[in-house]
Amino acid sequence: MQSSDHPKPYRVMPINFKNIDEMILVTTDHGDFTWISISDFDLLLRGELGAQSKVYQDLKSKQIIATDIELAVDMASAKLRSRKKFLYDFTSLHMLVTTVRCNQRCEYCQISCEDDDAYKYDMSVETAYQIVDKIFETPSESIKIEFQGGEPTLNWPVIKHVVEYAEEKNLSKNKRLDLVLCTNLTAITEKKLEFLAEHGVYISTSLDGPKEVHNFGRKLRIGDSAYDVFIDNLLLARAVVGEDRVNALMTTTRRSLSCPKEIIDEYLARGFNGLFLRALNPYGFAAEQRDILGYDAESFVDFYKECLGYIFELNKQGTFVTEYYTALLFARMMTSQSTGFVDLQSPSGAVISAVIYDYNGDVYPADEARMLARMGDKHFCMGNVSTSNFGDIFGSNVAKDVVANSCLEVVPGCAYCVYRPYCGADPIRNYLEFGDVIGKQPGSAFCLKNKKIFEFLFKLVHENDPEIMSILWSWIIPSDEGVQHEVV
Amino acid sequence: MSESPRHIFISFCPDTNNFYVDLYKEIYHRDAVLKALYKFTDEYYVKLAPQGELYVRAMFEAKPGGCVECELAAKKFCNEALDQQIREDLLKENGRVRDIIFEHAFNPIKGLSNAIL
Repeated sequence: MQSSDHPKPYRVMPINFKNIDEMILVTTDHGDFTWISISDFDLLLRGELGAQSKVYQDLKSKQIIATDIELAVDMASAKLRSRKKFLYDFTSLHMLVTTVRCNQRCEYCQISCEDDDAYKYDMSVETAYQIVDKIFETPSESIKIEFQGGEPTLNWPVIKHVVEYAEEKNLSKNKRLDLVLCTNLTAITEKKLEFLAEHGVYISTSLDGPKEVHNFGRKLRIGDSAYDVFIDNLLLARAVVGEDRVNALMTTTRRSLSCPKEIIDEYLARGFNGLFLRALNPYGFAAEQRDILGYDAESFVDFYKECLGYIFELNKQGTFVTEYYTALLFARMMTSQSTGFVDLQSPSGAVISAVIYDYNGDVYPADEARMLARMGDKHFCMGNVSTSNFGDIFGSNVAKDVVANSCLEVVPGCAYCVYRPYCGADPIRNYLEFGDVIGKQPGSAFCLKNKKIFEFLFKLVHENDPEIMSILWSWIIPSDEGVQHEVV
Repeated sequence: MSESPRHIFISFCPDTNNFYVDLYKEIYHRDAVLKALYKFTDEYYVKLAPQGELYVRAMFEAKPGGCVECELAAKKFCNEALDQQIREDLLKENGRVRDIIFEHAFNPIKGLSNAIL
């Protein structure tokens, strides 16, 4: 690589790189990146970059090359520490499955939900109290308790008890406590909404798009249109709980792919100023019905790009609308801030950032692990709140295995990927698809999707269109009105 | 003047979807070749064996339904091997720096695992 025996005038710091359309994208572990020409890359490796050149100055400012190695290591370490700050927040998101019963039977549900009257799948109040006790043992300064299901509101007493007990416990613990109800809203009542409003509980619901798209994937067990009931109750929820306390997630099915604009217009029409373009996960019913609901990574990325193009146009016309996944990735690319997102972290967000408590008190690192257990494979069960203490659960071999094997720095194929500093691992999905938690990322649908999206976004940044860049920055920096959108 | 050794030989087996690539060991080191091979294991059964003193042989047998464009795959493998070798060379140069950066970054939380677990 070196062209002569003379020492290089600078040191090349640890980098990854990729040739994309005859330009080289160079990234560092601490997340800085640059695009350089092939000839400059060649000079870089040979140690022949001129100290006066713009490329040299750019690379030096990003700790891609160093003349003062101590200073460069210090700065790179500080940025890396900042990016990985989520490790210090162990464990903040705690999901409670209040019941596995559900009044809907969604086509892509990843958990085998039970009928409305299968009460044996309800969490008991006693178990709920044990869970809250465990949650408050977390060293994290912030706690988010999320109610999930099934449809969690079908076991309302447990929600009520947990909210009140958590608030009571927090009087002495003094943590930052957030409460979130994940609900399809079809079984909610005004009285329940009033309780949520009184206790500042956020609502996270699901909206897949206009009526035909929403009803394609989301179906009531009894009755006609899930969409109609949902829209009525969304209006009620907004009125009672507050507009800023109700958020929605969309799931992309094959039906969604043909109507990107309609989906975005639906979100705007319903008063949302952002959406999260979420791909279908290959679990549960979604896996069984892949031929009807599924699509390949390329199709999703095409859909994503089309949506993003439309969202950019809307923003240019003065309608502020955010795509949250892009905002997350853009923040990772352009800043050193720690961006928590359980599904795309290294090491994985499972255990470190989030755990889920099943209705019977079993603890799992992720919802998908709970689904596996429902299918008879309890490989990922970390313990039970009635028989295990906090150390047993969070120090279990399962927890250690998930964390140790989801550091991309040591995952074959990922370790030298140019997108590694911004990407993450999904060990549960790997176990499902490949039979072990490391799996084989390169070539998987998860990897293909994220690689294509990263490539698209890095090219976008390289093009440096002032309007587009301004829109992207507005998604991650508080505006004059102080608006900043949290990634859900 | 003696002729310098060729760095890569590609050979195709007629009537099959098999091929092999001989790589000059002075240029392509073990780790780089293994990492390059790893990317081909979805479509090929691969083997790696010494070939005399100077070369290492990477052998490819297409899996049923796998890529049958052997020439293209062989060229891709050559590029991948070169790509990985550059990374290996860089790692030799800056691997210790990477370790120091990570150690320095997480120094304040050393011992945390013992405290928690």
